[in-house]
Amino acid sequence: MNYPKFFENTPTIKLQDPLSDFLGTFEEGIVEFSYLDIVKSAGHSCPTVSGAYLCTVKALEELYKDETPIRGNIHVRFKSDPLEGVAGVIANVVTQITGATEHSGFKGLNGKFARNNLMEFSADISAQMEFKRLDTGKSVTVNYDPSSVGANPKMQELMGKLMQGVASSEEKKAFGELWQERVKAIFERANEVVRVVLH
Amino acid sequence: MILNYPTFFKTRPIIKLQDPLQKFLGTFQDGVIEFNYLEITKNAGHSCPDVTGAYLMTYRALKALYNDEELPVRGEIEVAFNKDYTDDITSVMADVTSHITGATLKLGFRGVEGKFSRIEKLKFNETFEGNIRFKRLDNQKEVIAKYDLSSIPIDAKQDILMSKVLSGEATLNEEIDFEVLWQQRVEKIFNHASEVITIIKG
Repeated sequence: MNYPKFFENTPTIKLQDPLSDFLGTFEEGIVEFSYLDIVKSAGHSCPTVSGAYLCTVKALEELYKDETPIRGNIHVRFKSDPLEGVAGVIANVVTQITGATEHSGFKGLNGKFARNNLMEFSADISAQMEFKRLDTGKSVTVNYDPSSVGANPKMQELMGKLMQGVASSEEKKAFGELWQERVKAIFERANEVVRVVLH
Repeated sequence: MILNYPTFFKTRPIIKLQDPLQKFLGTFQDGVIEFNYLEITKNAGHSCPDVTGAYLMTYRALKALYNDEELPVRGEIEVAFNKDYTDDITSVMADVTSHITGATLKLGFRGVEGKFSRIEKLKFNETFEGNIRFKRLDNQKEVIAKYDLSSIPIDAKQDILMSKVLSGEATLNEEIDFEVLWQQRVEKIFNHASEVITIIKG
C-alpha cells in the first residue's frame, strides 16, 4: 500500500483493552493505533479524520497523563447531531480508538467489558466533544478548529474539475497531493488547532 | 512498539479492496488497501468466534462476488443482517463488516456531490436465511454467507475456566489456560474456514 510519507511521522496511541486481555487477544490487553489504521477504516485521510484523531489523542493524554488509557472506560459526548455533516466520520474515528459506541459493539459479559452506551450525540456541552473517564469521573472538553491552516487556493478549482470528470490525470494527482499537504500541516500545528480543557 | 498476540493473527487471509474515496483524496495510490485479522481485532477489542466468523464470511463473500481479476470496491457493497443492530452478535459482526467494506448504517461519510457515500449501506432486520447477505450495488449481484460452528466443539474446560476468570477466582495459570483455549478455537475456525462457512449465490 502506498500512502503519504507523513503518515509515518504522526503520533501513535497506546491503550489497554481489558476485553482483549481477558480473551487472550493481546498480551496484557495492550493495543496501539496509528493514523494509518484509522485512515484505512475511514476510507480517506482528510482534515476531519485527522482532527478527530488528534482530538482523541490529546484528550486521552490530558485525561490519563502517564497512565495507559483504558478502552471501554471512556465515555464520549458530541454536541452535534449524529446525522449532521461529518459527525459520523468523527464518531467512527473515536470509536475505533476508544472502543466506545452508541448502540453497536460488544454488549458485555456479566456486566463487564460492554462497549455500547458509551457514546452520546446532541449533548448539552459547551465544546464540540467531551471525553470522560468512568473510573475517576474526570472529563475534558475538546474543540477543533483548523481554519488557521489554510487550503491551497488551487484546491477548490481542481476539486471542481475532478467532480465534473474533466480533470487530467496530472490534475487528479495534484489535487490529492494538495489535499494531503493540508492534512500534514494540521498534524504539524496540532497544538494550535486542538484545544483541550480539563474539568 | 511491538504488540504481542497469537501468531496466527497475521498469517490469515488478507482482504484486499479498492477504495475510490481514498484515490480521490490522494490517500492511497490507486486506492488499493488491505486489511488483516489483527487490525480487525484491535478495533473490535478482542478475537472471538463472532469476530472471526464475520471476517471470514466477508472474505469469502467478496471472493464470490468479485472474481479474482476484480478488487472489491469499498462503498459499493451493501451488507445486511436478519436481526436488529441491538442484538449482541449482530452488532459485533456488523462492526467487522463495516471496518472492511466501509458500509455504515448512519455514522459514516455522507458523500461529495452524491459520490463516495458510506451511509445506509448496513441493513438490519432483513428477511433471509443465513448470517450475512452481501450485495454489489453496481450490478445488484448478491450472496448469503452462512456460518455454522457445530463442527468445532468447545473444549469442556473452557466454560469452567471462563466462569472462574469472570468471578475473579482463577489462578494466573487458569487465566492463561483459558486464553489459550479460547484462541485455539479461533485458530481452528480459521483452519476449517471452508467447512464452517457456506456461500450461497443469490
